Amino acid sequence: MFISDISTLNQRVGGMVTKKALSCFIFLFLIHSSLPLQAAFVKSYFAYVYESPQAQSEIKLRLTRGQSVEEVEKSGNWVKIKVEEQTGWIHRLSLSDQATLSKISISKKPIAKRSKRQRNPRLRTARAAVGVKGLRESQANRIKEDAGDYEAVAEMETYVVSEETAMQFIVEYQE
Amino acid sequence: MKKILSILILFQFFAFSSILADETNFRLRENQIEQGYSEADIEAEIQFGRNLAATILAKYKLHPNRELQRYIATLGTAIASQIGRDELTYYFAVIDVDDINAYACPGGYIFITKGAIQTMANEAQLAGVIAHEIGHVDHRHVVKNLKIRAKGDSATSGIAAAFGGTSATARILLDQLTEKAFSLLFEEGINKDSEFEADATGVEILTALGYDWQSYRDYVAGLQGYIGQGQGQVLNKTHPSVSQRVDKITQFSNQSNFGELHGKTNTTRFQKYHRLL
Repeated sequence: MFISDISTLNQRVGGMVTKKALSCFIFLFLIHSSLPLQAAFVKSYFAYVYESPQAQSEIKLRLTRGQSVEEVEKSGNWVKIKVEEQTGWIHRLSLSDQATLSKISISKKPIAKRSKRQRNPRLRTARAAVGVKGLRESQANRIKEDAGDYEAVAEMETYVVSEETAMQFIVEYQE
Repeated sequence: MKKILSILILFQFFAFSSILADETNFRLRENQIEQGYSEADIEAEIQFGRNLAATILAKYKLHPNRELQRYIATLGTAIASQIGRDELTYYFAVIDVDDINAYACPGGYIFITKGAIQTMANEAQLAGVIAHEIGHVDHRHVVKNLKIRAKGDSATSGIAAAFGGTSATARILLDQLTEKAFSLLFEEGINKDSEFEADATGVEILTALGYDWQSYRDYVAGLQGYIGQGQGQVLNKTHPSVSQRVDKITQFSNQSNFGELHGKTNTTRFQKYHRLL
């Protein structure tokens, strides 16, 4: 009776272990299979999705900045993606793993002129600072008057055009 | 049966772990806000770049033809909108200098000389040079070389305080860094690897935009004819040799299977603006 009880017990325990192991395996398999494809975002103003990994192939889609895609495969400079229920190839430079960042603005006020004391080359802290930066002593001694044409920089900043205008200029002309 | 199941479970576990690790590595992109660069650091970079641009423009004047300036800015904006850093606004200008060169200040202020454009034959070559300079900004070559940060490890190694006018020491440090940056751009050059990296970026962008990358390679090769002359002196000091650059461009193109890819050159349009020089 004792022997038969042990046998029965072994059979029951063995059965439970097998069932648990099988459940565990199935669970891990489902997790593995359901993992989302690597997400990425279009960082270019716009990006073409091509039939094959070359710019001369047929264009399937045009995506715009910020659109989310799923990466399927990589081949050199090209990435195969899945988007809008289609797959195709996009140049790697058009993708980012981060969502689009906002433009950072700065104050355009010219930097204030320094006083006479501030221009004194004997300031110990100045030498300490340039020493930290590894600059040569001759450079440390050559403290010049403020020089900078900020009006010209402001003029340069007026040349900027919108991205839409710029992209039309490139895309709509070819020879 | 139990052994087989145990093996299968272990396999699933390791496969799952390797997928996670692979995804983590794959997430790294070199032209993103990198780890360790805060928004304050980027603001400091832009301020520094603007300050450096003002220094350059105090010495070299803007080309007076506004139509030419708009052409360069339009082309540059288009290229930057495709591969530039999201958080930057890029500015482009032609400076009225006969030297053959182009200069990329941190923060997106990019200059190209009249002399450089004069030696070009088509828009693909111009786009390649602009893309090369955008590559310098994207890879933060000057920022890393000079360790430009909003705040440093000590009270004297960050420059943000200079822009707020709150620290005389920071202001002095800013002046020194500006001098150093000017020297890097006009006298010493950054380093060879940075130039090769910018060339590779330029070629890659050209093919992505449908331009003829071989035109850019031919342009670089053609610079050899100017190296011994006055116009090419600055270029010679600040860049690797022409033959090294051409070899690297060819090597990169072969590795990337650009091969015999041909793209647009937009020569007619380019020549219309070239006449404005």
